[in-house]
Amino acid sequence: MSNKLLEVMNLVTQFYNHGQSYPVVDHVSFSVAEGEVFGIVGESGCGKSVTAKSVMRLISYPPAKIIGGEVLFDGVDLLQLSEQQMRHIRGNDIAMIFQEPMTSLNPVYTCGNQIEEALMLHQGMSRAESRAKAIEMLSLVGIPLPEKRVDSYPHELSGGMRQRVMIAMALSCQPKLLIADEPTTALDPTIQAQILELISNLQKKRNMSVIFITHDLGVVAETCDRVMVMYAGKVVEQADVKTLFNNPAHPYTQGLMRAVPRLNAKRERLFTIEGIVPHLANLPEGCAFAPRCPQAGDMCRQMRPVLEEVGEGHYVSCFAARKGVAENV
Amino acid sequence: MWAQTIRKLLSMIPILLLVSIVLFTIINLLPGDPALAVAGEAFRDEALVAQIREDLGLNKPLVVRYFNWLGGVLQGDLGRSLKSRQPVVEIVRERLPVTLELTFLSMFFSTLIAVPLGIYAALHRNKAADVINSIVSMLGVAMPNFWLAILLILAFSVNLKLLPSSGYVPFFTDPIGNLRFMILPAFSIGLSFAATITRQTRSSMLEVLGQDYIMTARSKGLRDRVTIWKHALRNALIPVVTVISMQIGRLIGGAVVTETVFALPGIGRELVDGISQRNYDVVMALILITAFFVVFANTFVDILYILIDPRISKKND
Amino acid sequence: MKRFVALFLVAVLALSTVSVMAAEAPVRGGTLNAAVAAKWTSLDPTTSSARAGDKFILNQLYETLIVEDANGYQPGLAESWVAEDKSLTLTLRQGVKFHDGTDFNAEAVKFVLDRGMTAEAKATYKSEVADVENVEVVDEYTVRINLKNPSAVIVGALSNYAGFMISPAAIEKFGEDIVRNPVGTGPFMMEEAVDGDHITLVRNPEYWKQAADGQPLPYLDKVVITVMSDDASKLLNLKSGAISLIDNIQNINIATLDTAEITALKTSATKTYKMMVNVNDEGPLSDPKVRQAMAYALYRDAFVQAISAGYGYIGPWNITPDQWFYSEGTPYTYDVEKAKALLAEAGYPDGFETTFHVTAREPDKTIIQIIQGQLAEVGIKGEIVPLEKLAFNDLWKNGEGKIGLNFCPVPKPDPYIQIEQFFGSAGNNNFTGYASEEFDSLLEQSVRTYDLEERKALIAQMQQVFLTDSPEVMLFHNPTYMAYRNDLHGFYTDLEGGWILSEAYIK
Repeated sequence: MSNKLLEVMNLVTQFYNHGQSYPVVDHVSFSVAEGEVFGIVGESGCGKSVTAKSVMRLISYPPAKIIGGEVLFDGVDLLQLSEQQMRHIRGNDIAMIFQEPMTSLNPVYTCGNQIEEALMLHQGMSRAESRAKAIEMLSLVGIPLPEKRVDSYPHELSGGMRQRVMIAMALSCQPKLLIADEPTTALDPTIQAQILELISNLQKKRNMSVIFITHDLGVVAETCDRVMVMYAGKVVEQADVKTLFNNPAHPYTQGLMRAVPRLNAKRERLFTIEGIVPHLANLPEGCAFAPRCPQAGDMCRQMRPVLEEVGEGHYVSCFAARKGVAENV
Repeated sequence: MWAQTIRKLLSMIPILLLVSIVLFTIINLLPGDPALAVAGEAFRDEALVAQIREDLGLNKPLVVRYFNWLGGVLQGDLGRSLKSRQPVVEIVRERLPVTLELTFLSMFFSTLIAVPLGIYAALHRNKAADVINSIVSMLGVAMPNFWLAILLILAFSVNLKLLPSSGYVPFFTDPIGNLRFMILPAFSIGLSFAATITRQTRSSMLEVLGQDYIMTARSKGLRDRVTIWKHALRNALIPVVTVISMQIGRLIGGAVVTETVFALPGIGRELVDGISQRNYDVVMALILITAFFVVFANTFVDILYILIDPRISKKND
Repeated sequence: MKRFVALFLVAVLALSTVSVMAAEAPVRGGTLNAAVAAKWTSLDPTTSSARAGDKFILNQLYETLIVEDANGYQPGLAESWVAEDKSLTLTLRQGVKFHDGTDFNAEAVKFVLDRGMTAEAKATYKSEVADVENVEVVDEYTVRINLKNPSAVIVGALSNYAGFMISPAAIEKFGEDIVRNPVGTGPFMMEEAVDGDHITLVRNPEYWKQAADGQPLPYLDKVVITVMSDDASKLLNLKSGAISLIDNIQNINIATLDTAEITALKTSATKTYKMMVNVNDEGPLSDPKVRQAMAYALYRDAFVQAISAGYGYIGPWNITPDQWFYSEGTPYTYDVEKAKALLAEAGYPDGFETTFHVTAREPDKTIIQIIQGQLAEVGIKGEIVPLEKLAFNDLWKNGEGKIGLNFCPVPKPDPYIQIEQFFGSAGNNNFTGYASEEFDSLLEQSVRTYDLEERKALIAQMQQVFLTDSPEVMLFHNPTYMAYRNDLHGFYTDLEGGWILSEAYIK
């Protein structure tokens, strides 16, 4: 097994709002190995984005603060570093690309300028050197006429092109870890496929670790090695891709799987998980998913389950699942 | 870009023409006979008033008078002040520089203070600096110009005897003296101007700081200073430039109160006097000049946009 | 000997009412900075339309043939004169020059007087010289004015705007631009002016009046008069020292002056505030009983206290007590019962609805509000409509006013001028439309005789008629106070409040 590049342990990020405070990332633990593509899945608001930003320490107070846990990157706890040390890592060792390419690039500077920034800062390159490198990166991500495009402004490019520029920007300093926060959600399906392929190729070529955040299980199936499912700020299930799809243990994951429409299925009503995600400030006692869970029992409503291993590399946070597996075994 | 600029400037002409027609009509619709204003205390003398009306050509139909006026303008003759018979061209030459200087100085100094203040307040939200900024903004917007002006005179001229309370000397005659006379007036207008700009800067900055590309910049490991000054500021300034350009028109035509309190020979006072005396030629000329400067300033700002914001394409129209 | 002493004392007493400053040895040189509230309307006296206001400046540039002070008429540019039934013969001062070097003589006087009477000149004093038949040059320094009818006002007119002497050469040279290029015989000449903002006057080195030291007056080198329409900043400028003399200080501010630095001066100029009533109105206002009722309903002390901070006073008419033609009369007293009774008699026991028109300025607005409140007590109710000055004048000229507020700037050089323009049926400033045959007849008679006692008696009669008809209700007299810094000496004002700076100096 390759080294654990990133190890997150019991990360807690607290949110403060109108006198209330509650965790949006509640004791989340996971690890990402070198060269591994790790997926984080969940509905909107489940805390996956905040988890990613917490790893990068891009959380600012107000309104949120990281209050607990450890984030070990290459053995170093990022949460203990000074801001200056952290800046050294951002864009350099760990890079991030975002969901909205339209708004994630600064409209008043050229694409080239925005790529060169990181290069000049982290790699110490001169203007000329970084410009050459920027053109190289643009070419790498498949942008035609890169020597012209380097002087283009974001608004002159299409959505897909812009995302490629984001990727070029993120990868320019050869980061060990790329965090991709829903990079294709805002794109057309055809473009989606292209971008996914691009990321996949670059990942393999550079043996780069990737954290892939998405709510699209199809994307997960295609690109990820291992997956973590989140609900209401907590990890509910973690497994390698195959196991997750073939053998989902948590009722929530099971529900998600059933909700994916299949092309070969007869026309019938789409499956939905009943109920809605509770507001994080008003979580019920016991398991957060219990009110919506078909398998919920009394214990579920009274006690909070914890993450437990139910198979090799397969972790679930559920009383029913544990029982079921125990029964199956 | 130059072709576009020239086209914009040329398009001012039809605008000004339209303004002049509307203006001429409005002034003549106002109740009150200018011949009476000229006659003053002798207004009851019918013969006198009729004589005045005849002399000033007020008996001719509106359209004829308009075209007479227009014809004069095209030949460089802006008419004469009704009572004093002073050529309007002279009036403009004497007074316009004063108002322009006042406008420019107040804009310059207030922007110089307001923009950094607004940025600082946005960066230190809800701390002391932000509170001060809010107070200053509120005062600047709520405080009546003339009251502030009088307070300033009281403080700096009467009590501290630091600055003169009135008077004016042209800049090229005596630069230091000129600036000494202009500081208090520029400040009293400048404060309300600054208040609007600083509020806009602050809110604009806050909005920009919440944008995705700021998150991107931070995720690249850029220092906060770079993030703010490079990435945020240029975007934040775009609406501020809009606000500044909107204020210019108000400033040029509206320095009346300040000019009155500080006894500055500008066009603001002359315009108000002109309106109340139905001094047609003076009013037409001064308002059109103000309109010209407003349009000119807006055109200038449009060009500034093109320089700041690449989304506004040079080739676009 | 006793008589001499008595006369001497009288002279001193009389002179003191014209506020002469005690003079030490005057100092020559220096610049006087002064401020006035309103733009001048013209630098040509013939077309001045704000006669009280323009005088601050015109007095420095021009001089009149005759000068009036509290004692009566004194020599001005005319050394002496003889008044006969239908003529006035003036002997002119010799050796006087206009600012442009041309001579002042009988030809000049004829030129100016003739010009003032033509329609083109648009002279605002036309009615005062209406009785002039022609002007004759008798010899180089003697002029005779022939009258169609005896006209007692002619001497007064020549001591006022009609008598300002302008250089004929300048009139011919400048044509209509004479309004911006003043050329007179006065102690100062115009150096430059920015219309509506300020005017710079410089010493006339050829001025004919001599100072005590044998050199010509004036003492000052320069006078700069700036227009400051904002009262508060004008006062602040006085306090800061930027300005040494202002044309008016509001009564409430007098107490704020530091008397070690600034002196407030009560001048003889007065504003007589009055409530005007449109006598030709179709409704109740045309009934004299109603107007009398309103006169009884007003409590005038309120104005004296509220508006003039106690410096004002009440009088029967628009004549002030120190004028020779003043007579006591009976001012209306505050009597609400009587007012109501009169209203009932007139058929309005419960009062009526009307409108109050006022010029949008202070203190007019405050005064009309007080009036509105007081008249409401007798059932006369109405809305206040503030108007801009031109619109206000227009309204009344068209006979559409109802009840309005205005003031008479007094004193004027001759009782005829002071009364005719406001209350004569053809008066320039007759806003109410008052036209009484009896009044007009008495007015005519009062100008046809030169006998002062007779004139005074006729004026007393006119006052009685006026008070009975009551087209206007006199409210109170508000004396004008001016203020100057204590380093200014030798400064005094003429009857109308115009500045006399020929003997002023700064020390």
